[in-house]
Formats: sequence, C-alpha cells, structure tokens
Amino acid sequence: MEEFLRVTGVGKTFGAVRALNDVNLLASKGECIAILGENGAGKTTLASVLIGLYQPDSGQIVLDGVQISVTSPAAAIEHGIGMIHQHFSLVGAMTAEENILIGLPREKRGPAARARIRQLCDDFDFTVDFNVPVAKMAVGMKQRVEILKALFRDVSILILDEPTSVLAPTEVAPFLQGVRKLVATGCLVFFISHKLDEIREIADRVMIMRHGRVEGILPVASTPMAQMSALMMGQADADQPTEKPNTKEMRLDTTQAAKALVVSDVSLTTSSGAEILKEVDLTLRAGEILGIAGIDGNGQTELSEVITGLKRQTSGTILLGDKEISGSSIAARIADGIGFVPEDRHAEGLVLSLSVEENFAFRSIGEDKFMSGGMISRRAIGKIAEDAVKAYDIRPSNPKLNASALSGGNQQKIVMAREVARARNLLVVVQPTKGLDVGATQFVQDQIRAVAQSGVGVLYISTELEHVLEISDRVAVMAFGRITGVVNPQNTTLQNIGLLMTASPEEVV
Amino acid sequence: MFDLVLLGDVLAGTARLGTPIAFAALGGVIAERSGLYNIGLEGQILAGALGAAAGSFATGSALIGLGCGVICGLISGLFLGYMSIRLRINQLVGGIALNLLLAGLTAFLSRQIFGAQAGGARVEGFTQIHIPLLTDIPVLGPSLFSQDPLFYLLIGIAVLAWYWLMKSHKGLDLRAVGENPKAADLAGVPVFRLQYLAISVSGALAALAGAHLVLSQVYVFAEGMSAGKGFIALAAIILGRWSPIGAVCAALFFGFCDAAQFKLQFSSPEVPYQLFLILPYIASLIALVILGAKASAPASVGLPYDREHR
Repeated sequence: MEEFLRVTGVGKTFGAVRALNDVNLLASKGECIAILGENGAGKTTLASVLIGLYQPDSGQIVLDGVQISVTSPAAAIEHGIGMIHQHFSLVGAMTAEENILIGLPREKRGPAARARIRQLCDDFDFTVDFNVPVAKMAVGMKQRVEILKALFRDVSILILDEPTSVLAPTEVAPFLQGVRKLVATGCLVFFISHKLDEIREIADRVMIMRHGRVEGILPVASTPMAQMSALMMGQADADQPTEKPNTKEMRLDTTQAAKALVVSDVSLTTSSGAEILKEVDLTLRAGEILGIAGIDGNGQTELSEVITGLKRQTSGTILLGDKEISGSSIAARIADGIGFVPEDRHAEGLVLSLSVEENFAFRSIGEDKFMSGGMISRRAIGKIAEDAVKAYDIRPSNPKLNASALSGGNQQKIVMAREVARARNLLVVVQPTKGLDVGATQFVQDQIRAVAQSGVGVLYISTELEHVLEISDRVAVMAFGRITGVVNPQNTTLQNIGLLMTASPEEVV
Repeated sequence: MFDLVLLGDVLAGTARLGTPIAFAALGGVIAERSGLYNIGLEGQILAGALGAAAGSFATGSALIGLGCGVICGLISGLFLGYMSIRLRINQLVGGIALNLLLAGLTAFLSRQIFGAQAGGARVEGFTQIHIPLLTDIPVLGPSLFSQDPLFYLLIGIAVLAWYWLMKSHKGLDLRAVGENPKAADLAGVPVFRLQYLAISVSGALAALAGAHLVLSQVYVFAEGMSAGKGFIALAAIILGRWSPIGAVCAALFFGFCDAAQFKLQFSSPEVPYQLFLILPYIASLIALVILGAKASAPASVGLPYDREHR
C-alpha cells in the first residue's frame, strides 16, 4: 500500500517522565490502525503530538511525502489531521452547528455550511438534534457532533481516543459502523483503545505501546488476542508459567479463616444505562490478599468505590465480616475498620496543600486521640505523624512540610501509613504502586503483606499484572464488569489470564 | 405629585451618569466573554480620563483628547492581558494590582502635567448635540436627544458589539474561547490572539468611560474621579448577563438610581444625604439578588489556558 503518513523517532519528555520514546510508524490511506496500551503507555501523548497540542522533543512527521511541523491544532487542521478526544472538546453552551463552525474561516461558514452539515449527517446515518445546546445532549450524540466537526474540516487522518469508553453498550455498534464508513472513504483512522474485541472488529493493524515505546505493529487478523495483551503488559513470552517468589511460604493458610468481606451479586448501572459492574461475587478471608486483575476500565475502580462507599451499588449486598454494610455511609465503613488507598493519591488520597501531619489526621480528626478539650491537639497529631514518618521512612522526615513537597513514592507512603492504621478488618488498595520506583514499590508491597499477616483481608486492585501475581494469594480477573475467573497465581499462565482479561461479554455468562 | 419636568431631569441625568458605567461594563463583557476577568476597569477609567485630559490640554482638541484616552486604555488592557494570558497571574489579583498602579500613576502624572494648582486645569470638551425635531419631544426629547456625542457613540458601539459578538463568525470564536478554550484551540481558533484583542478592546472601552467623565462632564481631571464606577460596571456585567445590550441597560439602570438620589437629596434636605448616596448600591445589590441568581458566566472565565497542561 502507498505510504501516507510516516512518523520517525518521535520523543516527548514531561519533567522526568519519557512519555514517548523513539516512536516510529508507517501508515497508508483507508486504513484503521488501533493503538493499544495500558494507561500511561503514551497513546494519548502520541495523538496529542500529531494534532499539535504537544510539541515533540525529537523526531519527524512526514505527510504525503512532505515533512510537516504541527505547531498548533490550527496547523493540524490545515494538514487535515483531526482528533476526537475521550472527554470531548465541545462548548456546552452552544448548539451542534455553532460547535462545528467554530474556528473556520468566514467563507466556510456561509449558508451552504448548514446544508453540508445536514448532508454529512445523512451520509453517515447520524441523528443529531440541532436545536439544543450540546450540554443537553446524550453522550452518543455529543460524540456524533465531534465526528461531524472533524468531517466538516475534511480530515484525512482522524484519531479517536478511547471513543467507546463513554458510550452505552447499545451505542457502540452504530458508532463502529460510522467509523467503518469513514475508513471506506479513504480516511486514515487511529483507534486508541484497550478493548481488544473492538480492535479485532474494526482495525486492520494494531500498534502496541508500552512505557512510551512501540512494542510492535501487527496485522490484527493474524495476531492472537493473547499475544496482543501479552505485548501490552510487557510479557513477550506469555505461555511461560508464572514464577512466584518464595514469599508465599511464609504466608498463613487462610482458606479456613473467617470471611473478611463477602460481595454478593453486586451490580452497578450508570444513569445513562451503562453496566459498569455485573453480578460480582467475591469472598475475601481474613489475612488473605485477593488480587483483582484486568485491563483498565473494566470495573475495577468502581468495585473499590462500591466496597468503600464512594459509590452505591444498584443491586447486591456487601458483608464486612458478619455485618451488612451495603447501605452504610463512608464514615460508618471507616469506623468499621476499612482502609482505602485510592487510585489517584493526589485527588483522593491526600490534600497536597496541607502538611504531612495534617494529612495523617484529617480523615479522623474528630477521634479522641487527636482532640484535647474540643480543640485539635497539635501535639497528638504531631506525635502520630512523627512515629509514622519514622516507621515508614518518609523523606524528608519533617511532618510539618506540605504534602506537595514530597515525591510520589513518599506521598504514597503517607496514604499507606494512614490507611493501614485504619484497616482493622479490610484494606482496599487500588494501583498502589502506580508511578513508584522499584524501591518504593517493594516497600509498599512489604507493608501490604505485613497487614495481611496481621489478619486483615486485603483487596489488591491493579492493572500491573506482574505485581498482582507476585503479591496475591488468589487472583480474580475482571472484564466488562464481571469476574471472568479466579485463579491461583502459583499454577496459572499469563496466557490463561490474558484470555480471561479479554473475554468478550458473550463468552462470559 | 407626578412631575414631568422632574422625570425629564432624572432621565437626562440617567444618560449622563450611566454612560461611563455602560462603557466600562461593555469592556468587561468583551473581556469576560473571551475568558478573562477585567477587574482593572476602575483603574483603566482613570487612565482614560488622564489621557483624555492631557491630550485635550495639550492640543486644545477634545477629539485628540479622546484618542489619547483610548490609547492609554489600549496599553493598560494589553498590560493586563500580558499578566493574565502570558504570565497566568490570578486574574483578580492582577486586576486589583492594575487598579492600584493606575490610581497612583494617574495622580502622579496629573501633577506633572497640570502643575500643582488645585482643581487641575480646565480642558476643552464636547458640547451637547441637539438632534433636530427629536429634541422637541416632551420629557424624552431633551433627555435622550440632547446628549453629548459620547452618549451616541455608546449606543452605536453597544449595537455593534452585540452584532459582532452574537452574529459574526469571529464573535462565535471569541465566545467559544470564553466557554472552553481547549475546544476552541482544537477547532483552530487562535485563542491567545483573540484574548489579547478582547482585553485590549476592553481597556479601550473602559478608557472611553474616563474620557466621558473628563470631556463631557467636568472638563478637568481629578484624582480618583472614577469613584467606583469600574466596580459598579462589574455588577452591571452580571446583571446584564454578559450581553452587550444587557450590560448597557443595567448600567443605565444604575445611572437612573444615581440621578434619582440626587433629586431626592434636593427635595428632602432634612434627611441626611448619606442615606440617599447609598441608594444606587442598595438598588444594585437587590437587582443582583433578584436577577443575577440564574445568570451563568462564560464557563472558563478566570481560568488561564495552558495548551500543554496535563
């Protein structure tokens, strides 16, 4: 096929993070290329470079034989490159038509524009309400407006960033139909996703990214799904049995221990009808570490939120020990001894502008140990913080510093120290090692093992499969909001887990 | 009881006292629609007033004075834009800083220019234009059709601004920037260029308010002569729901309250005059509480836009 787009040696660094590292790519017209990768693999960064939002530190982009430099989104539009962002870039207060016309030169906005927008709608079988502001539209319609916006600008390259993640299940098929039509007209489409079944359905080739590098560009039809997921997760030899360190032998046999957490038949449906969790059943015993593996966005985060009370399940029950907590408030669950290390420590785990010691105390500030005579006891807070800073080797070791002054690893230690102290019965950790270096990762995992050793049930949710396999006694795999299987990490293969992770909804009944 | 002459007087006062507020409010609307707060209106009124006074003083021409005032406003607007857009300083802090800077700077410069004589120097100004026939309409005629040229300029600019903002393609782009700069940027709108344009025009409009004070009202520059009009204009923006026409109407409402309280002061000398002085502010508070509740500002006003922000 004829070469249309050539990307060579593109790199981009944010601070100390290499978001893109020597990315190379060749593509032709009328092709749909899926970009597959975990969160933070560099998919969106690459797209942002192509549409001029980010300026690359190195590398070249050659379009139709001519080297181009995309210095701004306006320049990208001139070159016919468009993108549909995951969270859309529409002006909520304006109508579909106004949104489509923003930024165009005057001659393109005449009365003919109106007719052309309607024509595009007909060509692609799009239903769009032109009388209401975009803010009042359903997500699927907003997405159609975004696509119309790109089509109206005559794009020859369209990048779709996780386009189906916001759609209700019924909206996905018509959307993919539209994409197919677009590809048939000769458009080069990039389809960023981590849903393998959609990639299989829509894409000609799949480009797999990991840690800012391209791991491979493979034809979809002849590549097994398990190989894709293995490349994505950085395990080239996926059929090797997983090796487990010997830490296991030190662990107690928990199969007969009391149940710490029982989740039965829990479902969660959003107001737009998307089923995030479907009939989830889990049992976690005291002292056990239960890993939850799965590709990001398959309901793991929501499961943690339902258990800790941040979200309310649509149906089903949750037992903590013998006590039903299905309807309890967050505060009641904390009082019942649930500790929670959330995925986003900046947004949910810490208040960065408060000091380290205040961060230790603020979720339990009303407790007697932090109070004296109705006032906050600075001394008590300082004492507890100092002990934790010592025990966890948090650096710098001054608990009066703002939490924002600490590195990511040390911030995570604060959250860990606080939540471990709180977790008398259950500790829920989500992506606890995200963005941490090797040493900090090891420390966090040692702490989690120690907590389990003391008889607390631990739910370890992570997309980093190696870590889940290393630390867990059992691993439950989630896909499309369901538990697709529970395996023993000692005697399973990555191949097997890969299949469970990518099981399509029909297979999982 | 109902006195038509009195009503005519109050209406004439409304136009005179409301015009400077209306100019400043128009400027505020343009800036906020582009996503930038212009809290510096108060200072920019002073800059415009000083520029107008100095220009007219030096050349003896009110028109050149007007031009000088507008240029001062443009420069102060550009400066505020540089702080808000390029340096991404908190826009409230930047605006207040500009107000303090311009209050001091205009006081200092006025003494340099006009000397230390009390009351400053009298400068050439505009005279009222009597529009034939319409002036003869009872009550309304003298108040609305015998005004100074800047009042007619205000009406013209307000209509023009409304048309540009709500009907033209550049106006659509500007509103998109104020609502969602990232979306506008991705659609190919030159976000920063439009914001600089808006904040400069905003400064120029505020300067016209100052020019009106000097060239059409008192013919002399006085320190601090803006007397809070820039802040009342901020209320007029909200009351006018970020529409150019709405903001002018709201500003004229405040002008009406002010004119009415002057008349009340004269008619009831036994009541302490301070009570009447607070009337316009009470009226603006009440109006904001009643009408301002449902108003919604441009979604991204006050939030600096950074393309590479992650």
